[in-house]
Order: sequence, then structure tokens, then C-alpha cells
Amino acid sequence: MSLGRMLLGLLITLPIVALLAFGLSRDPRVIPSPLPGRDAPEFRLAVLDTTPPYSVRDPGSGEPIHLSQLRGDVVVVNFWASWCLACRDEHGPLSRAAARYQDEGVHFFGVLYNDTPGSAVRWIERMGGQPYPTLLDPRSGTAIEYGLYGVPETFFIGRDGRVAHKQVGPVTSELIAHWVDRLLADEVPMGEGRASGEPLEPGETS
Amino acid sequence: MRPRFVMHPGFVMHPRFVSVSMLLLLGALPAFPAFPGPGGSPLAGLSGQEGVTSGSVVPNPAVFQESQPFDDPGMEATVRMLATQLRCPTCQALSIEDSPSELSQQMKEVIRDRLREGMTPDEVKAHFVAAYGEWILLSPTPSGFNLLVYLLPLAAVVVGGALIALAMRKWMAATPGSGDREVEQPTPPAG
Repeated sequence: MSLGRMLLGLLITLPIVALLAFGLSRDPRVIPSPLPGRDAPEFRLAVLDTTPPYSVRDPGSGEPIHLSQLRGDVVVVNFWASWCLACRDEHGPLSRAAARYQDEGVHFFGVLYNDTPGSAVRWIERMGGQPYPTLLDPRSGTAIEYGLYGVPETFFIGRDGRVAHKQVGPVTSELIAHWVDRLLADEVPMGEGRASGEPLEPGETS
Repeated sequence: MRPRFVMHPGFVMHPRFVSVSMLLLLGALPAFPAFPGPGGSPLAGLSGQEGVTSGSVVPNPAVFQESQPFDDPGMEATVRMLATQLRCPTCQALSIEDSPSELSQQMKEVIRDRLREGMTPDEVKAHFVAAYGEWILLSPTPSGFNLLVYLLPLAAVVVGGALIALAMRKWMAATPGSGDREVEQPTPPAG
């Protein structure tokens, strides 16, 4: 085989192999989010009333939550549903973190995604309670603003109102501590955040 | 060979029986309040089983109001045009126009809402791109790196055509007297 033919063969096959290596080494389910580093979309959502007797007519209670009113505090927004199995795994870590950071100006919110308030209330009861409010997003308007494509997904929002990190899939205690501690210490430079489908391993820093 | 569903060694279910059973099972799902059914409809559980205190199951309009289609067929055509260009986030290979998923239907409602607010179709697309990134567009915008998607197939056709033309010329040249090949005449028998 002549050198010219070999080079021609390489010229044709190498880009194809490189393209396949690039495409096949990525998880197609992880969609890169443009949100980290940008202002978190504003929301104004009613709080799910979890106190019995529960009312279908008015499942929300009290004043709605405005994200913009929490500017200056760290906010963790977790989209969940009672039909989501992975949401059970992260319920414990989220509940413990919400209790741990309660006095440090960190607000945890659940946002109910494509679920009935009744199922959500029953789920919370079965899981032994939820020490942070769940918000109602009836037509998934907020979920769509946040570029949601499934549950669970969790957004870590800094004091400046920018999204620092989007977690696709369940969060762990280590991951929550990693992002919340950095946001409390104002250690996340603008635009450094990332969207990830892989939970951080214990001890891992990004 | 028709596919069969094996539940247990020796027990084979007929596909028609499986289809009918699945339909019956799906129909029965709303009877289980803890199971929201396929797609998890926010309205699926509002059947009076949730400890209604008000004596009415009419959903609170402020909470459950749905976006109505436009009366203007032109505007609905714009909604469909936009919906065919946006990718369904849950099914990924379909547009939100073609996808029956709940999220896709809600995204169509968002399209209507944004158009009602006075956004242009391009602004509505940009709105979705801001939330989901370029990924949400079924056809990437033909600029920058994305241009490769449009140019590479053309380049492949041109280069492939050129290679085939070259190869054919070579083959033609390698076959001596092709087209007017001399046929060997049988020699007449002597005598």
C-alpha cells in the first residue's frame, strides 16, 4: 500500500473515530445547562399546605414565596415528585442539610413537579416530614424556566441571585455541603458553576 | 416469528392478551390515588379522594388554570411551527409538537403564554434556549461551530463524488478497449 493511500485512509477514518470517541464518551442524558453563572429565573409560588385537613381547592397556604425577596441569602431549590424514586434517596440528605443550615441564612425549597398536592402530602408524611417548604408549580412554568427535564434536579443559588450549580439526579450530603459552604463563604466566582449529573464523591472538590 | 412474552419457563402469553391486559391496567391506574399514572398529571388525583374540606372538587383557577388555544388559526399555526422546532426534554428524539408527554404539552402552553405577552416567535425560541441551551432546538442555528453540521454532509457528497469519479476514470483506463472490445472470431474449420 502506498504512503499516499495510507494517508488518505487516515485522513478519512481519523475524524470519524474522533467524532465517535467524542460522542460515545458523553452521557446523552446529561444536558448541559446554560443556567450556572446566570441569574436564577424569578418565581412566585404558593407553599404546599401540609397540615391536615388538606384542601384540594386551595392546596397552597400563606404568602407565596418570591425568589427575589431572598436576594442576599443562599437558596437551594429542589424539584421533586412523589412518583420519583430517586427523590426518596435525597430526602434524608436534604432534610438534614435544611436543619443544619437553618440558622445560617440558607433557604431550602422543594418544588413539586407534575404531581398532585395530595400525593405530595402523603409522601411527606410517609417520609417522616420535610423540614422545609414545598412550593406548588401547577403548570410546570417554573420548572420550564429552570430548564428542567426530569426529577430530581437541584439548583444552588448564591447570595447574588446567580445559579452556582445545577445537580441532575439525587444530591448527597457531601454535595450539598460542598456547594452551600462555598456559597456561604462567597467562594464561587461568577460563572464558575457547572451542571453535572454526577454526584461529587466524598472529599472531592471541583 | 411473532414476539411472545415469557413470564415463566413453560408459560407463554399471547401478544394480544398482553396488549389487552396492559390497556386494562392503564385504565385502572387512576383508581390508585398514590399512583399518578403515566406522566403524573397534576389533575389526575383531583377525584375527590384527597380529603376535600370545601365540599367541591372544582380546581382553584389560580392554581390549575390551563392555557387555552388561540381562536386565531394563524396564531395556533405559529404555536405549532415553534413546537415542531423545540425538542421534547423527556423523550429527546421528538419535537414537543409530536410528543404526548406532559412536559411537552406544558411547554406548548408556555409558547402560547409568551406569544400572548407579545413575544415574537424568535423571542420565544430564545426564551427556551436561555433555559435549556441550544440543545432544545431540534435544528441547531447555522452559525459558528454548528455550521459544520450543515456543511459536512455537503462536503462529504462533493468529496465522495470526486473520489468515485476518479476511481471510475481509473477503472475505465485500466480496461483496454472497453466499449469496443474485440470479439475473438472462431476460426473456420479447415477443409
